[in-house]
Order: sequence, then structure tokens, then C-alpha cells
Amino acid sequence: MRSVSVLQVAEPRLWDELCAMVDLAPLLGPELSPTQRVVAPGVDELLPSLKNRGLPVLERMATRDVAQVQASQADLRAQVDALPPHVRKVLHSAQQHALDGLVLGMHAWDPSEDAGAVRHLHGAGLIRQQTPGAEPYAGLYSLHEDLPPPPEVAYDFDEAVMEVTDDLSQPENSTVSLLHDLAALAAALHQVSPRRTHAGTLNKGDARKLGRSLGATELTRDGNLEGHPRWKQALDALQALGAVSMEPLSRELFLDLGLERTLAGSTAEAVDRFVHRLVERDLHVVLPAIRAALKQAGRDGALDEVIFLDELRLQHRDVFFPPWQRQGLKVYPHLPGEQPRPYDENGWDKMETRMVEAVLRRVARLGLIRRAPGVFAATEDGMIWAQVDDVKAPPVWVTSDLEIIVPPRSVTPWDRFQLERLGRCITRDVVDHYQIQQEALVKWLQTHEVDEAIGILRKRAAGVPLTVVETLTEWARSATRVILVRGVLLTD
Amino acid sequence: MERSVSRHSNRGAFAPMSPRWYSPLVPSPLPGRRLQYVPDNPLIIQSDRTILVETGSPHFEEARDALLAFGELIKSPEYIHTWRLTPLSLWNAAAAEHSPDEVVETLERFAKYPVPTTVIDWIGETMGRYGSLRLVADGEYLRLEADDPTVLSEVEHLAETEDLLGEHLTDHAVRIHPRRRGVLKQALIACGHPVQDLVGYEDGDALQMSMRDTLPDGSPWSLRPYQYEAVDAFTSGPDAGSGVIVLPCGAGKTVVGVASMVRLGMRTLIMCTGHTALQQWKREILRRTRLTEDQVGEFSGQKREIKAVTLTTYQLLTWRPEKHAAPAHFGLFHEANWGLIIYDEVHLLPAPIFREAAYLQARRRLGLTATLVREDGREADVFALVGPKRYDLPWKKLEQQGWIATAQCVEVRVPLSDQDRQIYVQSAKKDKFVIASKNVRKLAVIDKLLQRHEGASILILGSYIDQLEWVARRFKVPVVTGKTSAADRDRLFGRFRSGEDKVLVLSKVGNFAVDLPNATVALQISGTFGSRQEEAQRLGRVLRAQEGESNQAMFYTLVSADTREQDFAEKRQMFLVEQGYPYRIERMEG
Repeated sequence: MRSVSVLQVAEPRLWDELCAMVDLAPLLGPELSPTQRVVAPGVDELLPSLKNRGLPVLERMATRDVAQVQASQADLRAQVDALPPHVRKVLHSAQQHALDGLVLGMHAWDPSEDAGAVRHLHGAGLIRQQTPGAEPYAGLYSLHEDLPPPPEVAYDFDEAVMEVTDDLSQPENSTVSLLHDLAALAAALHQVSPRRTHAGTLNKGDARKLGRSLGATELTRDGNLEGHPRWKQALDALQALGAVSMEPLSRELFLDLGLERTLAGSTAEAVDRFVHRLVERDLHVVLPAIRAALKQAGRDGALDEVIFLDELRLQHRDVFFPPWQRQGLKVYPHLPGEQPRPYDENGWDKMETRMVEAVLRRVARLGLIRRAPGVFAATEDGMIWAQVDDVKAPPVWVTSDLEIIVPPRSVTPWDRFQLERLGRCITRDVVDHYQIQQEALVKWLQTHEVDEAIGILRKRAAGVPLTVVETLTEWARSATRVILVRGVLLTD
Repeated sequence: MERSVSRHSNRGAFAPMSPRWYSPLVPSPLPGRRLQYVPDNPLIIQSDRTILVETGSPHFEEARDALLAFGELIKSPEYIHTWRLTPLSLWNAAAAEHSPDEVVETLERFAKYPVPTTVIDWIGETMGRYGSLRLVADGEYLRLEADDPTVLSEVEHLAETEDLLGEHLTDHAVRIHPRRRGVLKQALIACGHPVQDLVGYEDGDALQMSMRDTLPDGSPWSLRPYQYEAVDAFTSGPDAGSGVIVLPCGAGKTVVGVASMVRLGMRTLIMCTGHTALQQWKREILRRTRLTEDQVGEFSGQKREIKAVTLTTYQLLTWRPEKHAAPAHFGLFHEANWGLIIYDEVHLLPAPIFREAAYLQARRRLGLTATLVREDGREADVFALVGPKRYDLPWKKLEQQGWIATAQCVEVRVPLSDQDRQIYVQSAKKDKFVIASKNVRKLAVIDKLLQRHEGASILILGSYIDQLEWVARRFKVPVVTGKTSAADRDRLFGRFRSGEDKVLVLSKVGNFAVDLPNATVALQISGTFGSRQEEAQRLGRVLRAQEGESNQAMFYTLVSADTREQDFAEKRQMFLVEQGYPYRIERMEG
């Protein structure tokens, strides 16, 4: 197996055109098909020349085939279904506790009682130990990325639902708007790749470019991203998510497109993933319970915190920790040498109650709940997160002159990220207004196909004019006449 | 929604629709106003004063017609049209006696989301300026009046008005010399102070004329309803007698001009964009009115006649014997006691004519145009010196009513031959466009399109004379270029109009004011595609309604695939779709 670069042309006659323009022939390697040939690394030096002569080369990284992924997921589903019930239960517990595919064994199972199940899962390749040499079965494990999601946990907090009180706090932040902003900024970063100065701020010229891409007039004028709380907060959030990295030599910021995994799906799903990532690793597991409670309280209700905690204890005592069986007694997970704490009601009050309290504080800071002593209720954002209403989003408009008009609440953060990657924002106002641009589409084509772009527009817009489809297709056709795919794995 | 607002009432009556708006970090664009979302309404008013109009709304047409009074249509692609509020568009509304409250009420009635308060305040402030300064007659002088002495004081302290104001009469009035009437209005509007001109006009020499009921061929004829409305709008009202009528290409602006002239019944000077347009005006005057040939004069390169109705061209009027000399023929403005001056295609009015127009404020003035937008941005001068917009009608409405043809734009992508492609890729950037424009494979595509539209009257338009002559030779059809004499042009246009020739090849000379009403198909085989005006004018050639036929015009553009020409063509595509024309792309092998 070796990794090579492959040059791919839209039609075989283009080989002659390429060779007439630049000295490509000596770099051409074995032919994989009439339109694909392995090329030597020196081809990189010819790319600027080809671009200047009107035949730009689209650079792509080889990616995993969708069909391959789907086949793997189907295999795993069958494999999970075939697991013995106890082993499957341990796997599901691990999935519920996992964050970004990683789980601390001692949080998900009893290393002693469940050792067999863990061994089984490990042997089947469904989990993999990440910290060799750690206490047996207690350390960090990674889960197979293609595992099907665990079954949903059932919660019933009807007893805790009460009327809204007057003294509930007001939200200080909006997670939904932050997600939209970070999606917009991420798309702009993807297009601009700004540099960071040694003082830690963004280069002014690059920040101005970001401003133009974001439709942020003030930022375009002053080039001081750190001086604009809205965009600074979005950049901070991106960094907190680990979605932005800096290339140490050029000091360029670049975007990890893994961000799409956080933003994917509905607004509620994106908020959920975001919150999970912003809450401490050992606390996030209680978020589904809070979300379920908010949904049950609905638009007009609040939750009595004491009853909520009591119900949670009654229904899911093991929400944070599985009880470990030691000498016939249930105890909390503990490290070697630590005195085991009894897994009883007193423990719940001292441990879990405080942990839930910490999560509620964090969730309130994120603007998802409003709180008063002993009560909490969903904010507007919280209602979106908890999917309290099933409101039909207003449509987006795509006009035949390649503009996209996005009314409030018409798109999810994921949609916004994709739409913003297709062009630049003209205005952010009562509605947001975008212009689809050829350069942006070309950048998009480095990681996606044009059909996906058209699909996104079709999904959200009342109608996509034929002109737009034709133009995007034509741009894509012209941008993909010659493609250089890097990192293609060849078997010798 | 109501409940949610009251729940958050201690934050002020904010708009809880967009989550972004309640982030403490992001100020609301609608401070102090509650957001209501009315999905069926068509207008979205942005705080930058653009108005987006959803064409699918059940109230679209009603809202569009209302917007005509105070907005400026920027573009009308599928689904969403964009309008803009500008000081000029609001002053036009104020001149038509619309109040700020009416404008705001209209916006609020049709708004999907609340109108930003900043926009409401700006409308009131801007419209309030029109009428705050008035020019009125004062014996043999004029008087600039203001109700608010601070406004007058502000004007008196402007550097721009230093030499234009006369004696300070009172805190509310300043004397103005009649010669400075236009220049003062021009200077003040540039400073954001539109002047309401209530001085009135000098009546020119009377001229008895009337419209015919039948055309020379005996067919009955009358003005179309919207043409009546346009003439009424120009000739009636308290300060009628100066202003601009906006009608799309093919809607019969010339006829409206002729009818306005007849309605006023005064000696008239008509300024046209060129010789061909002049001939077209003359032909229309003689066809539609009872004026005779000896009453209609032509002040042109060929003739120097000054008659009761005199036609001339901007080019001739601005001609100078040498670079720094004054225009030689400006005397024409004062040669006769004109009662009306008509500026055809007023958006093309050259700067020297503007200067002269400033001294013709005592005459009635009519501007005709398809667009108020000028490439040089001097729209305010048109407002000050020719007058406010008196009539405007969206072309879609005319299309729906069948008064102009429905146009379909098709871009035909024609690949270069292998041989041409090799030459193309190795050529310098500057030559690539020409190679692409003259792609020999276009010839075969022209052939196919001529067959597809056999029997139709077809114009072949292009920018390269050798290419056009080559096409003309190949298909044995006549060609009109800048080299063609005026007499030959008139003859060839006549043959095309009469249907004797079904195909005519036309260079850039055909861009403006050539009336070939029977043309239903245009093939644009080369062009820079960069100028919006050129595109609009070329398309305008095929927009005349065809009686008894499908009324469908076809506008083809042949573009060499995967070349710089294709890049340029994207600009024209944008322009045409912005205008609202359906646009499709075909690929044809030559």
C-alpha cells in the first residue's frame, strides 16, 4: 500500500492540452484509467503556471467512500445486534458516557464485574483501549466511529413540572445565535485562512477580508476582529471546540472540517452536540435528562429542581456512575487506594446532586435555561434544544441572480455553514443576504460535490431557479476539468 | 408568541424571532419594536433601506404597484425583487404629493417583519426636506422661500450657493436671479436640499396640432391606457410641465412624447440620441399627428431646419469646432420660443446639455427613459434640471397585459474546434477574447438557429465588423454597420420593417433607438457583454409586441465554451436575470 497523487482529467483530450501548456509529460506515471494518471510530486510546481494559462487544477484529498462507510455501519449494526444482552448493555452505557468517541471506562462500567463484557467488546473491535498500562478496564477507551447510536433513554419528569415563576433569571447568552455566528465565521475562515500575529491577534488585512466575507461592515473597516465581541466570541467558541488550528510556520488559521460533525442535523441536534462539548466531560451525561425535562415542561412550564433530582435518582440512579460491586456492597467508582464511598442516597445528595447543580449552572450560562431558587425553565433557545415546538421554518429564497436570502430561523447552523461556504454575505440584517460566488464554489469542490451544494439549496429553498443550477453545474464542470487528488492509497 | 414577549418584557419590547437578537452581544436591528412575522406579506425592509419583495406572495402585485411611488427598482430576478429607498426616490414621491406617513403606512401594511425604526425616521426626515425650500416668482425676479429660517440660514452659509443667492429679503426669503434658477436647484440638491420649483413656465409659441385616429395605412389607432396615464401625469397637476416618464423598452415612449407635445400645443424642441432615432421620431410624429412635413424640422448633420417642431441630436448639439470652444449649436435653444423641450433617453443626457438645461428652466421639459439610473450617477441632476419622475410602470405588468413581448434569453455555448483550442490556449490573455468571439463554429450554430426560427424577423448583432460582414456574406443577408450611409441604413431598415428582408446583420449602430418593431429573434454573436446598457438596448430590439402572434421574443447569445468569452457572458447573464428575464443555457456543437 502506498500513498500517491493522482491527476484526473474530465476528458482524455485534455492530456494533450495540459502537455502543450506545461512540461507535464516527464511527471506522468502509470495510467489508472484513460482519465487518471499517477503523477510525481513535482507536479505541484506546475499548478500556478496552469492556473495562469486558464486551466486551474482543483486540489482534493482522497476521502473515504460513502458506500464504504455505509457498509461498515451496516456490518456494525448487525454485530451489535448479535452481542449478548449484558455485553450490549455495557456498550450502550459506554456510548452514553462517551464524548467525541472517547469514554473513561470507570464511568461506564464496573471494571471487575463487567470485565468479561469489556474484553468481548475489545475483542470484537468495537472499543479500543487508549491508555495502555492503565488500571485494567478503568482507563480511556475509544469507540468504533461507525457504531450505531445507542437506544434513547426514557425519562419521565411529569411530577417536576410546575408553572413558570416570576423570578426566573434572564438569559445572558444565546447558544443558537452563537452557533450561527461560529458557523458563519468558520465558513469565512475556510475561505480566507487568516494569519495570526505574534501578539496573538488576527492580521488586520486578513480580518478585513473576513469582514467582507461575513458582510460585517465595521470589521471590514477596522480589521480588528478582537474588537468585535460578536465575532471574537465566535472565534473563541471555534477554538474551544478545537475546530481551528494554526499552522506554526505561516501562522495561518485553518479550519478542521470536522466541525461539520458538531453542526450537522437540526438546530436542536447542533445545540445538543455543542452543549455536550462545552460541559465538563464527566457531567455531560446528564444533559439528555435535562433536555427531556424541559421538553416535558413545554413552552409554559418550569421544573421544580428538587423533584427533578428526586425523579432522576428514582429512574436513573446510575446516570453519572455505574455502581461497583465490592464485597457485596454497591460503591462509587474509585481509584486504587481510595476509600470506596457507599452508593446510597446520602452519596446521591453529596455527589450527583452537586454535579447536576453544576450542569444547570453551565446550561444557564449558555442561555438554555432560566433559573430561580429551586426552579428552572427553558429559554427560547432551550425550547429549540428541547424541541418543545415543532415550528415549520420559513423558506430560504434562492434568486436567479445567484443570491440567497435567509430569513430569521429559516436555517440550521449546519445549513448556514454550508450556505456561507458557497459565497459571501452581503448583509446581515432583518434577513441575511448572500451572493453565491465562483471562487467559493471552487473551494467547496475541494471537499464536496456540486450536487451536494444544489441539494442544500433545494432542501431549504421554496424553489431553485434553473439558471442557478446551470450556473453552479457549469462552474463545477469548469473547475473540475483537471483534479489533483492527494493521498490516494494504491495497492502495489 | 404573545406570551413569549410578555415573559421577556423587562428587556424591552424586543423581537424574539431571531435568536441572534436577544444575545446581549448583538444589538437588535429593530430596537424598541416588537417583531411580528406575517408570512403572506411580501416586503422585507432592511435597515440599509433596501426592500426585498417576495414575488410569490399573494399581495405581491399590490405591494409592487405601491412601491413604484417611492422606491427604486434595483433588480427583479425570479422569486425576490430588490428595491431601494433613496433620497431621490423619496423626493420623487414627495413631488407627487405623497406624505412620509403614507410611505411608512404602505411599508408597514406589506411588511413581513417590522420596519426598522431607523428607516422610518429616515423617511420622515428625508421627505420633509422636499418643500422646505421653494422657488416662487417675485416680479421679474424669483424668491427662494423657507418656512423654517434655520433652513434658509443653512443654505445661505453653504459654499456652493455663495454666488447664486441674491438679496436677503426676510428671515424666510432670499431673492434669486431668474438665470440662476437651474444652477441653484442643481447646487442645492447636491447638498441634500431639493427645491420645489413653483415658478411656473413661459408659454412658448402656440402650435395647433392633434392626434390622428387612424394611421396612414388606414388602421385605427389610439393611445394605450398606460400611455394616456403617462401623458396625464406629465401635463396635469399643480406643478406639471416638467418631469420624467419612465417606460420600458418597447412600451412606446416616443408615442407618449408625441402625445404630450400635442396635449400642450406648443412649439417643441426634441433631442434624440442619434440620427436613426431622430428619423424614428419624425416618422412617428408624421404617422400619429396631423402635423405636416413642413411643420417638422430636422436640425442635423444633413439639414439645419428650425420649424414648429424641431428634432435634433445630442451629438450635434454638443459638437465643438475645436477642443476648448463652446458647443457650436447651443444657440438652437434660443432660436425659437420653445414651449416644450423633450429629452429622449434622458439617462444618456450628456454633461454639456445638462449645463445648458440649467438655463432653460422657464421652459416645459419632458424626459423619457427606460431607467432613471445613469452610468455616471447624475440622477440628481435629472431630478433638479429636467424634473421629478412623473410616471413609471413595471415592465412585467406591460408584459402580462401583452403590450410588450415576453422575452426568453438563451446562452448557446459553442465549443472551439480542436485547432482553435490549441491556438486559444497558447495565446496571450488579450487575444483570447477575440479568438473566442470569432469562433468559426458559431457560423454553423447561426445556421441552425436561422432554421429553427425560419420565417421570423431575425437580427444578428455583433461587435466585430469583419465577423459581421463574413456572416452576411455566408448567409447572403444585408448588413448595417457604422460604415453604412444614412440613406442605405434607412433603406435597409425599411426593407426589414416591411418584411422584405427577414434577416438583418447589425453592428453596434443598432444598439440605440433603432425601431425595428417586427424583430422577434435576436442572435448576439459577439460583444463585450460588460455594458448593462448595451444588453438592455440589444434586448429592447425584440421587445415590441407582435399583434396576433405568440408575442414571444427570443434573445440568443453565442458564447465559446470554456473561454474568457464565457466568463464575460456571466456578467450579462447576471444583468438579464436581474432584470427578470428567463435565462437558459444550451450547448450546441457547431
